[in-house]
Amino acid sequence: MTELVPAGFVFHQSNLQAFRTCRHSFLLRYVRKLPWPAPLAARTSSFEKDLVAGSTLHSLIHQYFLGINPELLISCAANFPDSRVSVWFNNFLGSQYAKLAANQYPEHTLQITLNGSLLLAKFDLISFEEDLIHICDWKTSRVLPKRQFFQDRIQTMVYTLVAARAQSQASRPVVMHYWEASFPEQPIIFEMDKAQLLRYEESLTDLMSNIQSLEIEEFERTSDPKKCTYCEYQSYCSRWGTEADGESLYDWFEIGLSELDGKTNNEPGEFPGTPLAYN
Amino acid sequence: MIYNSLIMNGILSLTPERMQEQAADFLAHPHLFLSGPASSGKTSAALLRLHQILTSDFNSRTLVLVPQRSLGEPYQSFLRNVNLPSSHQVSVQTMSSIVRRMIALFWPLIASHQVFRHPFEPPRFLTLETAQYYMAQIADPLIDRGHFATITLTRNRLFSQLLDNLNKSAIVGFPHTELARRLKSAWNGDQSQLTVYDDVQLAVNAFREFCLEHNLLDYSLQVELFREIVWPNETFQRYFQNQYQHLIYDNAEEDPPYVHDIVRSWIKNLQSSLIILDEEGGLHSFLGADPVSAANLVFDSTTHIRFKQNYVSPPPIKALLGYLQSSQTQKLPHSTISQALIITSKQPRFFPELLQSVSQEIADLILNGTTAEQIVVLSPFLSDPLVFELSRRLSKAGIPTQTLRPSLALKSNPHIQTILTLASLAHPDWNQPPDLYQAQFALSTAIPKLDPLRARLILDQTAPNKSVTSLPPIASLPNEVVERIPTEVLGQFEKLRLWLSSVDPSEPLDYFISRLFSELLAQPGYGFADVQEAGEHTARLIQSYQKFKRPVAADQGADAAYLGREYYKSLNQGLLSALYLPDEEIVGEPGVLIAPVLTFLMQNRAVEHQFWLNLGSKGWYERLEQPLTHPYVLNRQWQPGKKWTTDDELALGRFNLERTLIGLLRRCRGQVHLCTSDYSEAGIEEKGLLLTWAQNLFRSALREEESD
Repeated sequence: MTELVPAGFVFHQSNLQAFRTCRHSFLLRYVRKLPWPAPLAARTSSFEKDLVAGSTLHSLIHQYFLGINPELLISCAANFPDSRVSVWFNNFLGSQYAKLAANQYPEHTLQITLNGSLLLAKFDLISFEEDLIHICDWKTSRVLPKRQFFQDRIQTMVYTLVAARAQSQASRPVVMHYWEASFPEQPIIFEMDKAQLLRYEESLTDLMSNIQSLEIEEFERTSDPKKCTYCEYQSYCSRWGTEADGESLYDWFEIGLSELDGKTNNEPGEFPGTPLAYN
Repeated sequence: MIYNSLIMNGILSLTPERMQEQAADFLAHPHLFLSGPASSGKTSAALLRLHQILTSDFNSRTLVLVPQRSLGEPYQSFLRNVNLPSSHQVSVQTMSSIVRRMIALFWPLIASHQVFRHPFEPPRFLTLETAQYYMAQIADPLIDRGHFATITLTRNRLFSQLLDNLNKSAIVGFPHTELARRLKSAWNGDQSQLTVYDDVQLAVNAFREFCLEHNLLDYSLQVELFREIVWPNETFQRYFQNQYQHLIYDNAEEDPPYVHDIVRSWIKNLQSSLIILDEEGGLHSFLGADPVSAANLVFDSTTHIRFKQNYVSPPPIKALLGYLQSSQTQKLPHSTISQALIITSKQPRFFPELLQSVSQEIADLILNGTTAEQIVVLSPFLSDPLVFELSRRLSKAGIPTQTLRPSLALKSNPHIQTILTLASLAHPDWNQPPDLYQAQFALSTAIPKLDPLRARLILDQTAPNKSVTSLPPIASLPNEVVERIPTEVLGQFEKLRLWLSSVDPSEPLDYFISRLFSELLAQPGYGFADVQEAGEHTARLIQSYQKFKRPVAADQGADAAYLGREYYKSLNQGLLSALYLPDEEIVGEPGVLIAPVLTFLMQNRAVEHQFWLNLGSKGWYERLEQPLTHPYVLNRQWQPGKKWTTDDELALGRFNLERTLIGLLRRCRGQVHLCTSDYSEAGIEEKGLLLTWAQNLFRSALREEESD
C-alpha cells in the first residue's frame, strides 16, 4: 500500500466517481486537496443557481422529516428567490415520498469497512422496514436522466451496498429510489438482491484496493478530454477549450451539491460545512 | 488493555497512568469533570475514552466540542488513524459552527417567531468581515455627523469594536441595549468618554435594526437566536438528543459562558460526558473566554478527577514552574535557572544581529540532533520583516521553517495583488484606478520578462497623475521605449492589454478572475504558468469573493458590477483585510515554527526548544487599546457598579504575564532561549515586565550564590 492514500482514507461516492472519471483529478482533489480556480465560465450561467436551488430543496425535505410544520416550510419555499424550489417542494409534498413512517432517517450517514478500507454514504433518506431497506435520493435535474445512467453510477453501487452491509441484521434487499423533483411521477427505482449486492461488493473492493495500490505516476490524466470541460483542474493540466460533456457536468454538479450540503467534503471528525445553500 | 492495541500506537506515547484509565472509563464515570494544568495528560485520557466509546458502543454518536479548530486537531488526527467503521460517528466541532448550522437547519422555526421583517426569506449569514462591511454602512454616516469625534481609531478598528460589543452581549447573556450603561458604570476617567459610550449604543442599536430588517445574521444575532429560540424548542431538542449520546468537551475554559450554559442544560440527557478544564487556561479571556464559568461545570458532573502530573517538563523547568507558582520568596539556584533558561553571553545591540545569533543557535541545535519540528520561535506579535528575515536566514542554512499566524491580509499576497490590480484596470467603471507602483508591480508579476523598470517606461505614457486608468496600446509607444523592450514581451503586454479591454463589465468578478487565470496568467510565458502557489492563491481569492457575495448579493440593486466594485473597495479600505479562508495561515513545510505566543499556546503542543523574542515588549501582557469596549467589564464575572481602575489594569497585566509564562513553560520539553538585544525590533529600548522579571531572576540567583 502506498502512503498516498492512507489506511484511514474514507471512500465515498464522489471521490470514487471522480477516480473513475479521471485518476489525476482524484489525486489533486481528494489526496493533495489542492485548491484551484475552476473554469466557472464554462459551467453555464445556471450552474450556481441550480446548485443553490437543489441544496435548498434538500434542506426543506430534511426539515420536513425532522418534524417542522409543513406550513412553515411551504412559506419558506414560497419566499425563496428561485421559484422552482416552491414547485419542487409542492411536488414532493404531493408524492408518495412525503409519507411519514417510523424508522425513517433523513440525512443519515453510514460507514462500512470493505477489505480494510472505509466506505461512507450519506443518504438523503433511508428507511428500514422489517424485510427491506429503502434509500431515497432527491434530484433536481433539468432533463430526466435515463435509467441506464443511474444504473451505472458509482452512487447506486455505494449507497445500496453500504445500506445493506451496515446492518447487523442478516442482509435485507435494498430498494434505491431516485426521485426527480421536476418529474415527480417518474421515480427511477432499483431493487437490489443479494447477488447484485455481492457483485457491487467485489467491484468496489477491487476499485478501492486498486486506488490504494497506485503509485503517484499511475494517477494519470483521463484520456478523454471531454471529461475536462468542467473540471476545476482544467488549467492545471493545460486542457482548455475542450468540447462539453453532459456527464462530466453532472459529476461536477453532484460534487458541488454534496459539498454544499456538507456530505462528502469531510474526513472523519472534521468540521462539517454549513449544510444549507443559503449560508 | 485498550492502550496496548495497535490502533492506539502513536497516539499515546506513554503508558496511561491509572488516573487516565479511570478518566477513560465512561461506564464507571459517565459524567466526569477532568481538570489539571497543561501537559498533565488530559487530552490523552480523553482519546482513550473516545476509543472506548468507539469500540464498545458502535451505534452511538459522540460530539467532541472544542473552543477553536486548532484544539480539535488531536481528535481529528486520532480519527484519521483509527480506521474503525464507527469513526464517522464522531463529530469534532466548535459551538459557533453548531450554532450556525442549527440556525440554518431550523430557520423555519425562527421564521415562525417573526423576529425579522421578512421572516420567511432566507437568512443571510455574515462573517466577521461582511459584518464589518454592513457596520460601515451604519457607522460611517454617524462618524460623518460628528459622533465618535474624540476617538482616534481607524474606521476598521472602530467597526470591529462596535461588533465586539454586540458579540459580548450575546455570549455573556445580557441585552445589547444595556451596553452603554454597563460600560459607563465601570468608567473611571474623563467624562467625555461617557458620550462615546452613548455613540456606541446608538450605532449598535441601528446595526441590529438593520440586520432585522434585511435578514442579516452577524455572530451576535446567531448566538441570541440559537440561545433563545432554537435551543429551547422541542423539535430541535428531539433532533439534537438523537444526534449525540456522548460528549467530550475539551478546553472548556477557552469558551464564553453561553457555551457552558448550553452544555450544562444538555449533560443530563447524555449517556456520558467528559468536561476538560485547563486550570491555568483562559488565554482567550479578552475574546470572552470565561474560565470561572467553565469551572462551575464541575457541579453538573458526577465525578471530578484532577490530574497533577507533568509529562512534559524536565526538572529545571519544573523547578521554575514551582517557583513561579509560589510566593517566589524561596530563591532558585542559579544553576537550575541557567539550565531552564538560556541567555546569550553577549547581548547584541540591534535586532538583526539578534536574529543572526538566533539562527546560529538553531543551526547548532539541529547539528546536534534536535529535529527542526522541536524548535519554535515566539514573539507576542509577528511582523512580516521578522518572519521574512528569520526564514531567509534559516533557509540559507538549509533549515525548513513554518509560519503560523492569524489570517494574512489578502492584499499582501503578490499573486492576489496582481489579479486585483488587473481587475481594477479592466473595470474603469469602478473608478478606483491603481497607482503607478501597483500597476508596475502587477505588470512585472504577470509578465516575468517585463522587469519593473521597463514596465514603468510603458506606464509613464499613460499615468501622468500617478494613477493608471488604462494601459497604452503598443502602437502608441514612442520608438525609444519600444526599442528597449523585447518584441516577445511587447506581444505579451499587448495580449494582456487587449484581453483586459475586452472584459464585459457585467461579468461576475469570480468568473472574471477564473478566466484571467486560465486564459492568460497561467498560459506559457505569463507569471502564473506552472506556479502551483499562484493557482492556490487565485482559488482562495475566488472563494473569498464568493463568501462576500453570498450575503451582499441579496441587497437591492446588487448586480455583478456592483458586487465586484464593492468587494474591491472593501478590500482597499481594509474591511476585508483578513479574508483568507483558513482560520490560521500555515505557511511552509514542517520545520522550525515561527508563531505569535498566543497562537502557539492554542496549538496545545510541546516542543524541546522555545526561543522568546521581543522580551522587552509590553505585548507579552498588556491588552490592546479598546476605547469602545471592555472585555473584562462586559463579562459575567464583573461586579456591577464597580469601577475599572489603574490597579485593575496593572493586576491584569501581571496575571496575563504569569499565565503566559506558565503556559509556555508547561509546553517546553527542554529549554527556553531568552533572546534580547539593546534595541528592539522597533528600534527602541524596551523594558517590559518580562525582561525585568528575567533579569531579576538571574541577578538575585547570582547574588544568593555569591553571598553563600
